[in-house]
Amino acid sequence: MYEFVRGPLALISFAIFFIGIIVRVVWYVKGLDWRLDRVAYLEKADYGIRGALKSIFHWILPLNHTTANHPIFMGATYLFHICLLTAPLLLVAHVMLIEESWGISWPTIPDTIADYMTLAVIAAGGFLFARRLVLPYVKILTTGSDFLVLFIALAPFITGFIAYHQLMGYKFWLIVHILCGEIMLIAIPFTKLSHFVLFFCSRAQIGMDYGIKRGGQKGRGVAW
Amino acid sequence: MAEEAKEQIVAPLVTRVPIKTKEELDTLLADRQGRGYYKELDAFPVDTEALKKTLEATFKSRLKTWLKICAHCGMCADACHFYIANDNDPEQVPSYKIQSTLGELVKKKGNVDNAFMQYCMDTAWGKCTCCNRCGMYCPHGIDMGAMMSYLRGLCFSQGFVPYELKIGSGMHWVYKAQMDVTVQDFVETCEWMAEEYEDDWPGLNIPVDKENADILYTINAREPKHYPEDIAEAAILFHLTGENWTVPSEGWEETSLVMFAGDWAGCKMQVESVFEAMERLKPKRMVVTECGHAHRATVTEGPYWAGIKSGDTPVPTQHYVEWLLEVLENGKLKLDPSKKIKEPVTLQDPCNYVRNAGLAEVTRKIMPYIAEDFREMAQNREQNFCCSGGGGMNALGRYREQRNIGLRVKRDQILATGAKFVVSACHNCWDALRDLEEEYKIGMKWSFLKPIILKMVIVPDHLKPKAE
Amino acid sequence: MKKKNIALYIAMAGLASLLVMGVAYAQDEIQWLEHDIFVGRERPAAAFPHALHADEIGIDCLDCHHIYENGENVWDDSEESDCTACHKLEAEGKTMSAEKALHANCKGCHKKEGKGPITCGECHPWKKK
Repeated sequence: MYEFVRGPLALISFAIFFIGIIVRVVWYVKGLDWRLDRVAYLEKADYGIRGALKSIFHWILPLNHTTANHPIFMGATYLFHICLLTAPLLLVAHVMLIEESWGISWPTIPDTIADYMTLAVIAAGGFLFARRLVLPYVKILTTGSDFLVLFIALAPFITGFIAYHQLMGYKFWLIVHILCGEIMLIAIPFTKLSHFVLFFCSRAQIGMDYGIKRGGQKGRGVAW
Repeated sequence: MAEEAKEQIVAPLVTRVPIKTKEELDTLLADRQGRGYYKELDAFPVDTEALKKTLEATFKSRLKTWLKICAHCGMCADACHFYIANDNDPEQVPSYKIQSTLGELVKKKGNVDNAFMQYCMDTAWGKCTCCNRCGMYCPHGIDMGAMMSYLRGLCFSQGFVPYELKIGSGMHWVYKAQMDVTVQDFVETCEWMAEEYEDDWPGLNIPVDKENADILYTINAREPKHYPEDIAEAAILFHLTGENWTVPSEGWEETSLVMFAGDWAGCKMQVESVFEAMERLKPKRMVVTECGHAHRATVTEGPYWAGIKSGDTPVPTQHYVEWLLEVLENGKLKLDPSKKIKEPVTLQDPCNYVRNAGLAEVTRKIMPYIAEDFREMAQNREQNFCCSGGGGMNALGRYREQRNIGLRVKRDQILATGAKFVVSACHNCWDALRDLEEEYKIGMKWSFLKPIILKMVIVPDHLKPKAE
Repeated sequence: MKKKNIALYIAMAGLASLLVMGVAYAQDEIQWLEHDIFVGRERPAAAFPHALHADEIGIDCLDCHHIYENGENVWDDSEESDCTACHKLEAEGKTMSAEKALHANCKGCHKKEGKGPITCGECHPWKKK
């Protein structure tokens, strides 16, 4: 079982993940329409690129009014996303497996830090979960799929924590952990998790919109 | 009762196409407050096939992705003045307003009923002014105002549009203006105003259809219809600054109730009438009056409706405040500093040319010329709240109550500044402020820039009336 | 959304029931590869039952122990048997780093033979049993 999830299944899920996100981006860009969207994407590409970069920059870093207005939520989401991306990518064990399979490797972070990051992801995830149940303005928006998607994202961390610390049935939990990771990878192109790439597309688009049409050529465009 | 007789009207009031004849328009106008219209709408069927086709043709990448990746995080909630004004009512969360309308519509592939379309209409026009504020606070950059505007288009194509905007759209088709102002009416108003003020301003002239002028000035139909002195004030300021300017006899209407209505064909038709005036008269630039949505419709969105790939107007265009700042800075217009407003003054940033056209700093640079004690609202510039009268809402009887509730946010913003004088270079904001005072009586004054400036101008000797 | 709700509950129930199951793990006669050169190690020392490999399974000593001279393994049991005498923390020329050498040697063979542990925690258990 381990050999299967670590071998062919991992390969399949990576393939689905990479092809999937590429297809998502290609579809997105192909579907942009200067007339329907009313943005001169190509004619004013210079203003567009500036606006797009500005829009992404202000949100990849907490340099926006939303963070100032909602520091707790935005703080939790920044923490959630940073840890969620960094910990698995720079984990020693993951990099070793990649090196073993594909012969490439990159710097890693100490396991202790990855461990805290994992706990941060779980804690922040719990916070995101709780506010969906508690806050009326979030509750009204929440659907079952929001919980499912959050669960898909959290599962690899919860199971990873159990497996790493060998809290119980090590090999079993290791397999579950890998499976959960693979489910997440596969889910990314098909669910709201597609914001993994579509966040950048959407932010770039609105940045271009403001950069080209709504003020970018005269004022500063929107000061996010 | 008089109303009963009017309900005898036989012609259908509700249609899926714009009104294009004076007769149809008059029939609709005769239906006071749209009572018959809304009654007819209650039984109006949804053309689900057409709705499905429209979705297939126009619901693409940008909108699709916006709908898909909305994380349901709720950061848009308190960005909306309706959410705040309605005591944080969850049903006023912008994302909810979109998900429960456009989201469902897409999910059901247009297979919806009359009640659903009415819910869409009541949401698109009664709970949103398309001010685009929420989009600024969305981490994913989802512009819910733009989605709401798209929804309005879908509603209009199905005949589900508020009564006043069905009329507004019809006005544009019949008069190429949002009100029944004909070319003759307009030209005569200009002549009248020039005559009226000539004694005070010798040589005052409102040149109509002058070719190759430096400035082509275009306006809001309300001005010739209800506030002709606004045209006179503009003329006096152009006169004082020695500008070589003109107004077009046709294509003078900047505004676009068709945009508020979601009548995209009407938008194209209307804006092309202005662009034709540009091409006919070949001015160096165009200046638009103190109106927000007019600038949005003609300058920001207009070129796209007209199919201009660069997204630029045929000649460069400026909002009135840009021209005003220019002549204040280059000294063509001199103001008497001793006449500055002494009491505290605040500024209402119109969404359409501030958030949606980047002119926040322009009005701020004008303020020191006219006010001694300028006070910012707590949320200002691009962050400012809608006056609550945007997106056509001022005009809609059906949603007057909602509009008035929405005004509370603006009221509280103004009260917090301590100012009792609000400068507003936008017709919609101006109206909303007027209604705000009428509704809540906070004892404030509000004004366009032109009348304020005119009270302070230093008139060069050669332009003063000769003493008899 | 109903359908997705059910999926969610099933997934949650599944995970919860798995929590209570545990697969035990037992070993005897273990040698721990606690070489001094590994400072600040991320994982506990690997467990290595030497007798199991050498005596019970009967793997040739030269399959693991090696000193190469002219392409020939000249190791014998009078020679150095501590891996880290040659394999240091960092790779030196053709000599692999200790970590890589040990991983390649143990895990490489386990994978090739389809026998023995190949996951991290199986060799590096947090609790010595």
